[in-house]
Amino acid sequence: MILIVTAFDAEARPLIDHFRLRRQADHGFPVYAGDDVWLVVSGPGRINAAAATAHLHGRAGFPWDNTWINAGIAGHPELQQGEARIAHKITEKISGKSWYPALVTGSPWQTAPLMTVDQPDREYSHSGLVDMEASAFMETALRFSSSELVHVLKIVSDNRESPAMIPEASQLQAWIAPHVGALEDFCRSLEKLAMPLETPAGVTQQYETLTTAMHFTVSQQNRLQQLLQRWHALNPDMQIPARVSGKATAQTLLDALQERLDASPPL
Amino acid sequence: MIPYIYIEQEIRDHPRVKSILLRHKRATVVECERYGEVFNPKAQNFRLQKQRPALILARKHKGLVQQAPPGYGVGGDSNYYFSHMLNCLYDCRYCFLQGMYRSANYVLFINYEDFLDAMDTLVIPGRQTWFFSGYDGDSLALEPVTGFAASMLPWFEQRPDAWLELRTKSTQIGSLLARKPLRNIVTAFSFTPEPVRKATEHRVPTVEKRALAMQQLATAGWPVALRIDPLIWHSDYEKHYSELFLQLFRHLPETMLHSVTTGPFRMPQPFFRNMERLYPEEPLFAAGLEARGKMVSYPLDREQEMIDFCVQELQKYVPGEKIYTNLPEKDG
Repeated sequence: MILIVTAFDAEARPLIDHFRLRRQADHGFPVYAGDDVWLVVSGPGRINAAAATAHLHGRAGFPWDNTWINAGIAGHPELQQGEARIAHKITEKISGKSWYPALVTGSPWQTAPLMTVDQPDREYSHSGLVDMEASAFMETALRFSSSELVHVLKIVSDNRESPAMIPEASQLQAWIAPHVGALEDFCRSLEKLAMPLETPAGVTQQYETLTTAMHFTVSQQNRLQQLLQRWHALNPDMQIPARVSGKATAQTLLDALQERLDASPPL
Repeated sequence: MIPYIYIEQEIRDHPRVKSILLRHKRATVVECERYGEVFNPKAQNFRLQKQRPALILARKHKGLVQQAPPGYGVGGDSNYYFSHMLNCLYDCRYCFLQGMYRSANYVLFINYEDFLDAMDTLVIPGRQTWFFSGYDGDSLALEPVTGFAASMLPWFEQRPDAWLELRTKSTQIGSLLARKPLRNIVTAFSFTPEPVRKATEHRVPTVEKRALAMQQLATAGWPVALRIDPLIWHSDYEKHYSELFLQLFRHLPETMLHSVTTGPFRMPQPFFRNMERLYPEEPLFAAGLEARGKMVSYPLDREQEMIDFCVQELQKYVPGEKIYTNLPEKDG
């Protein structure tokens, strides 16, 4: 699943079109969803960004270890308008705190440091990107996912030669639209990266079959999950034997499975 | 290729940093205040990072040299360990580093001289003092990047009572071969049988390649040692360990061998739980282990059976006084 946070509607529009997202009936923040992509429009600033990120997490079903992207515009002293950079260091000006997203897949864009400020920086005193949301997005999204999967992509909207002003929506969309295809490729490569973190389908299926067939207490359910995981590690293509799954009670089944596992050499 | 190099601001101009950057011109350089900002945050996944680790250059400020755990040693009067690096080029599934650290990035502490100063306070003339390197990472695997071993040698040459163990799974022995051998530098190669290497020691050179590197070093006059550690229980383990010893001693006459140590697989429970979570599909963690006190290990009788077997086999090639069994402290 891909979860995207943008500050403005105009930033979101090229992404909504590309991923064919549909507006959801949410109060609080505009939320859009497709098959496996969710998007929220936060509004400007750190508080909005943090709240919207948390809102989207809940709205998408509290997913764990998924791809999170903060996409939007930023200022930069020198880069041309429309150029994109992925942040390798995000510093929050007011607290001095920094985040270092771990880039473990290739990125289609060069990287840059980013400073999150509460007031627009008309002097362009920071040598990297400047925005108003990224630090709060990082702080919040990293509660739900891992640093390798949480990234900030910024497209330059203003620089010393063309200082900050509120751009036309059409101009903003024109800057962002050319990067959307590459953003999807980047997100898909992150999803692929995260695949080994998912519970194998074989474990989930067998767990559901067994817990439907007989009663397991909560602690027995946890133990079953753990033992099935171990069984699957040793026998990836095999169901647990009928001699074990056919036991009359949850306890005898768990004990039989444990016994089988303890007797098997691991390699 | 190292894609990103994080550097603590205070060492940006250190000559060792400049030299590393010169050799990694394509890496993106990111400054940080302290390495812990990058290395320690909770929301990181060791497994994902291991696919493309970055290098973090830092200065170590305290705790540079530590007392070795009781029971650990190869016959010296006092034993210490130190880590100029955190994390390792290799990806051994049984390694405790993946359970201990959240990040798989390599941390290199570039103030080697401070390590040597700390060691200097511990060496007592007339008493054999051992310094074990390679606890938190392979001592030689990244030698072409770090130049660590090459920097240590002149200091040890001047201090015959100070002994250095370089623990490695690599074949990076160039910096040693480039100079006159020293009797107090022991390169200790760790091995598991080839089928275990294949299944669990990802990116580690084959047993044969490392055995040849060991032979090359020994032939040049450098003391070498064997570390059969951790012992891994698997089908046909007796056959495989016997074959391993036969293969190793075919390359290495006993006279050139400083010592052999062997030790069981034991892991603190919290580390083991992290490793299981990272690699739920890993067969190594799925069977044969049990929680004992604060540790996860093989059952005591199986552990003892494996140690006894290996020691007995090793005695076919090495006198008993050169064999050490490193059993960690009894756990509660």
